[in-house]
Amino acid sequence: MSRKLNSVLLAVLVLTAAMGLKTIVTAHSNTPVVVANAGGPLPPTPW
Amino acid sequence: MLGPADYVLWFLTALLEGAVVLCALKRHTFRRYLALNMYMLGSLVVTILRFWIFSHYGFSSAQYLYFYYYSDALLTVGLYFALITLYSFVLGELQTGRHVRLAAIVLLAGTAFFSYQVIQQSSDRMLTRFVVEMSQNLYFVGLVLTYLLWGAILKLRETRAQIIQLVLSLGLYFSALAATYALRNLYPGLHLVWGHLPELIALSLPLAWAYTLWRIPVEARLAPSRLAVVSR
Repeated sequence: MSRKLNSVLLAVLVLTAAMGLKTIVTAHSNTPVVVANAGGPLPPTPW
Repeated sequence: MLGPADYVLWFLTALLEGAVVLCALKRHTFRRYLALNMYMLGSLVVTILRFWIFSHYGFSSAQYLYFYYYSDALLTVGLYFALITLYSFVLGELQTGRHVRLAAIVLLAGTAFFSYQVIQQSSDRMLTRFVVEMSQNLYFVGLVLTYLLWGAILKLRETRAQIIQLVLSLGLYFSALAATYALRNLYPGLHLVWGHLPELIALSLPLAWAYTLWRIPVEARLAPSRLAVVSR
């Protein structure tokens, strides 16, 4: 049971770190979309 | 209007994605790295379909736009699971497969929940916003997961050269994406650079994987001392 809880805790910590990093990196940005999967030029966002 | 550079990068990406799958088949490692190869095969299909949609409907069409963002989200989820399989390789001897899967599912669900919380105030195109937000968030989750995996490789003294190369290429890929975000905020005027940089980053991953699968044998090992020099 404790190993399962550890897994969940680790997942939450990773999510917190990732979203914190994203907040720092994209702060004060109004065009933050970056896509790098497969080929093709990036179209403008639909909004 | 697209320039020659866009077409060249597009063609090269398809070529390298196909090369990864061919190298894996030729070296009999397709099933060994099934998730990675399926991701690359999916990328190849998406690259070809994007070009087909582009040539039939045009760059500014809604068809191209929606297919681009939805296919990117699907591929990002695919890359996420490919990364998780690398965890299974590295942590295999610790018998932690079930816990890695549990953590991966909780993390994916958490990312989806966080993405929904970000876009829930939007009044229009909620699904598309959610898909784009989820994809962007998963890039950063992938970045943190790759660095954690690299830490595990150093700690457990993993020596399989192919695994090390694959993880390093993912680290480079995710780090370059995060750097692109940051630098674009610092220098928003360099449109020419920021326009092509993500495409070059997309090119780097199949290039590194094709090199790894073609040139490095499965049984190749790296001495731990060459990975990190830690004084004890």
